[in-house]
Amino acid sequence: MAVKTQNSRQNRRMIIVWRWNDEEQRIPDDPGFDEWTVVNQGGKLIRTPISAQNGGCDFLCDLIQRQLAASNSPILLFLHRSQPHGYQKSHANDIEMALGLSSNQLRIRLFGDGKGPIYCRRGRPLGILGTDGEFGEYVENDETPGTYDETGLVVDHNAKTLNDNQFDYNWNYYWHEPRKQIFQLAEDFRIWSFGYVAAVKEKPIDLQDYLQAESSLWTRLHHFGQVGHLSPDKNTQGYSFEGYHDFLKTHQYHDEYNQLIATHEFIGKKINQKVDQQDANDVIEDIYDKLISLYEQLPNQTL
Amino acid sequence: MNTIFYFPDQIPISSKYHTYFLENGYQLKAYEPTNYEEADLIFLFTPVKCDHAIYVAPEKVWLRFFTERHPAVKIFQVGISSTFDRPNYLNWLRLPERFQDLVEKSNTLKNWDPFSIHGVSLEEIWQRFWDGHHKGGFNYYFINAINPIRITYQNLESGDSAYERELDYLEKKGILKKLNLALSRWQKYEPYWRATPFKNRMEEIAMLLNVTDKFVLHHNDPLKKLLNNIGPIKEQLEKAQQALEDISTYFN
Repeated sequence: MAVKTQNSRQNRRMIIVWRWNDEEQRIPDDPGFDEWTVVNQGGKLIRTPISAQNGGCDFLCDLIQRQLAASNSPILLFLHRSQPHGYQKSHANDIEMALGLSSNQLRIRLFGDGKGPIYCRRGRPLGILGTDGEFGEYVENDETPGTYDETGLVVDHNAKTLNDNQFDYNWNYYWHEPRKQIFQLAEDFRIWSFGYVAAVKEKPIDLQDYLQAESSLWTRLHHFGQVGHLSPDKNTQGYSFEGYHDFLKTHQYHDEYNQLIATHEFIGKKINQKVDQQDANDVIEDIYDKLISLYEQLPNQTL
Repeated sequence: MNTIFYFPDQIPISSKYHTYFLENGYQLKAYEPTNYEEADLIFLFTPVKCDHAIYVAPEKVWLRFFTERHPAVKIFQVGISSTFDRPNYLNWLRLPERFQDLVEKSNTLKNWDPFSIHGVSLEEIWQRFWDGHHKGGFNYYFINAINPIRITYQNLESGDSAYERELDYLEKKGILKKLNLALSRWQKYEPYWRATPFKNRMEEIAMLLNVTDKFVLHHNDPLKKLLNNIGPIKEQLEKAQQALEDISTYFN
């Protein structure tokens, strides 16, 4: 029986282009990168310092092709915007075009300036990058500033192994882009509603029944609404908002966090209740407006 | 009878909606870029889904196009929210008793200020396509492909140069790579042009560009194929260039 590796949790690769500068764990000039294995799942984190000016796009295309030849699992590429790397959207476009891969195989994220959960900082113990070109192995204690706790990111320096918690957290966040997911959910629902409105004018049909017939959208809404009852879904095809909840809470986005939770509950309630046809338009409007309003309120630096 | 064109044309419209608008003096028709002059009103269901996950806000491109081509038309943004209570917005779930009241209160194109319901603006997408960053745009590669083709054509026409010399010149200019990059960039962005009111013109440009792609770049000796047909290819590319310059005004 063929083993389906694509989109499974195993073998996911994260390539991070950054100013890696760890004296004890230097990246060899040849081949210009090194690999770290993620425990419990076999995923890889690949470090490289190649800049855009030094032929970074060609180097990365070659690296990605080699990785794909070894395993056809998804690759998440992080490009550092700031100098000396200087990657821009056009570089990401060039790499995407040169490789011609689908968005299930390769996604590229630009990052920099210490922004985003990939940076390990006080209140962000699940980050990957430290403050000075090394892995984020220590984080300032939230309650006692000036003291530091171990994050446990690096499991074994010699064996080059990393903890799967941090890897999963960042993969989940950057691969799926939670805020954009909410926008796409709202707009996919809007487009679906035109079909429902047309269908129901011809023949009475319950909103929930019609929605369940569109299984993909139903599943997404259902999961969004049931988030409090779901265990984290670590399959790359699924998504759990739990990491995003943590991120909002630790960054003092309390109102946004509360609205996200309230919207989960609202959607869960609305789509699981039998809706009288007379009320269907109200429910459609409510669901759409809640999702769009949530999207507008969530901090836009959270993708 | 007045005519409403709706866009995108895949939006399902039930017979009851047709009846409602007929009773209000309007026939609903899917938007056709070839006879837009027939439109009294245009319904834009926005944002428009162009790629499998990308939503595009095309309103301002439509505004510029119709201001130039058919300024008498009125454009409505159509959605399913009650929170966007403003002129030229129609909530598809709550049609007014008298549609004409809404039309009378709406703004003409001159005074229409489309609001963003989110999504990436078509102008931004065009800018990414055309300029890119740091010599990465379609325009850079296209200009750097078409200019040497023009020079080679003129040299051969005037008899000032030999075939082999021009072959060498085109090779040194990396003409095939540049054409390839320009065409790849076009193909990457092509799905977004479906959200424009002139997708027929975009399809014409695609045909002009694709001839070069199929005829030259997929040939087993593309450089010779290009040089042997330099006249018609130059003509095709110049037509595409002119058409692109014409429509670029709607994105800026």
